[in-house]
Amino acid sequence: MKLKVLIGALALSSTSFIANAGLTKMEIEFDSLSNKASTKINQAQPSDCSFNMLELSDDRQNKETVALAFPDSIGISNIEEYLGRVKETSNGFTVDENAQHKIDVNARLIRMYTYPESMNILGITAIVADFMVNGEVVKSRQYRGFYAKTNWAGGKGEYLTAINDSAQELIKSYTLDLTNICKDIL
Amino acid sequence: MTLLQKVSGLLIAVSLQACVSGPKYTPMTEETKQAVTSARSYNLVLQDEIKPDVVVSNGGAAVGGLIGAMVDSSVNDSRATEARGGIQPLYDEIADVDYRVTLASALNPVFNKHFNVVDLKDSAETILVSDKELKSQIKALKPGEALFFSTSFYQFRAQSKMLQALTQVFMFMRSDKPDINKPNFYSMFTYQSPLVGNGGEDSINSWAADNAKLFREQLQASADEIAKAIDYQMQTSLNEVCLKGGEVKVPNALGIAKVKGNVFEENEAMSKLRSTEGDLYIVATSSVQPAKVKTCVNGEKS
Repeated sequence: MKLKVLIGALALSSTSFIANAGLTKMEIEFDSLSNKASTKINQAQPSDCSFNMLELSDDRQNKETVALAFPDSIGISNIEEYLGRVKETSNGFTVDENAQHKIDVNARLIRMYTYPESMNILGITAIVADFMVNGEVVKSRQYRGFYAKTNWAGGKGEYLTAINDSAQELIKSYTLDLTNICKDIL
Repeated sequence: MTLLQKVSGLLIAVSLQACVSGPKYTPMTEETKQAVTSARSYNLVLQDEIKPDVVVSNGGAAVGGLIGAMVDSSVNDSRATEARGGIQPLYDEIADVDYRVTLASALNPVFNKHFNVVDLKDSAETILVSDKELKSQIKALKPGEALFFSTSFYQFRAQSKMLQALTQVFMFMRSDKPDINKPNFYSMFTYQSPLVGNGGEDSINSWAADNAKLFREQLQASADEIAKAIDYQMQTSLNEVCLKGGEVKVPNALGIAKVKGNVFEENEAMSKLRSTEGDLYIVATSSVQPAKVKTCVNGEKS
């Protein structure tokens, strides 16, 4: 995709003279977790706690970009929809109607980025989860998903794949910690 | 190598910037200062947070071809994963740290002290500007207008014992045929913190302790010291003393570059060195090794 050179707009801009230069916004699709990962997560869930993520908001300091696919900076155009899928997928593992203790979770996305390092693209996604009982935050914890994949051609899609892989790792990191959280809270 | 490739850093390796071809130190002149009536700016920070220290494998190069590349990819994958795991205690403490804001608040007053910069922002930019765009903007400048373009990186080095920050500042004046490898002013600024801990997990734990007190202090110090160094380089008449010749090691993703220069300011903790190429390094005094430098013999400039 060619660079978005917004020279006309730039000349009129009063806030930044190179506003949005080189930024490409792309849609990202959420891929389901593998059966192996899903089985592992299901087996690791606590029997006496149910965790319902009420919200996963976008609280990144940098909401503009997630990657630099030289020479274009890449942003995500459907971040809310994507975070909705992450939340939905997490809750699919962690909400248990039969569990005795119901714990609500308010989570916020704090980091989502990639960078190339040698022959790899590294993807990082991080959230802070506030665990609440009866509306009161009783514990907060940061979770991260990290994924390193081979950089085949430096294509824009590869960076989004790295993001998606890191988001899946994030879901694993979060859901596999809930037995500990359940014990800590109870 | 284009300017864009040079400053993007994250692609090739931040660290190579000390030795790649590209703009050389170009001092600020009184003539340039007098010619500039106002300026615009673009302060770029591409990374969202501190990166762990990973020494990239090139062992696969001996094998060559795709297999060699795959060997390197695999080795670097495991190194990156290990490094990511190791830095987590620090990440847990610094979700609120925003280097883009820290840097902008340090640099903006310096740019404004020397020039009438009309569009300074409270936070650094996130989007890379291509060479083509940069040239277009230089062409579009009004007579008397200048463009400051700065780009900065920071990373742990020396097994996470050191925080290293680097800023490059370019200034361009209007031209119909811009050559972005020949700015009207250019200098590179490198800050190295004193060494913290014994490396690896021990250092990360030290950086992370007490709500990352040390990390926050050093990140702020890196921005403040680089701002002071920019202020210094913006002066047009420098009577710089030369205390001694020195050499500093500048770690990068592929190894360690050795930079020689003249130490022109030092105290017990920190030293300032001007490299033989003209760029400035603010480093721990203990990390400066004596070196023979032609331009500074026995403490006297030659």
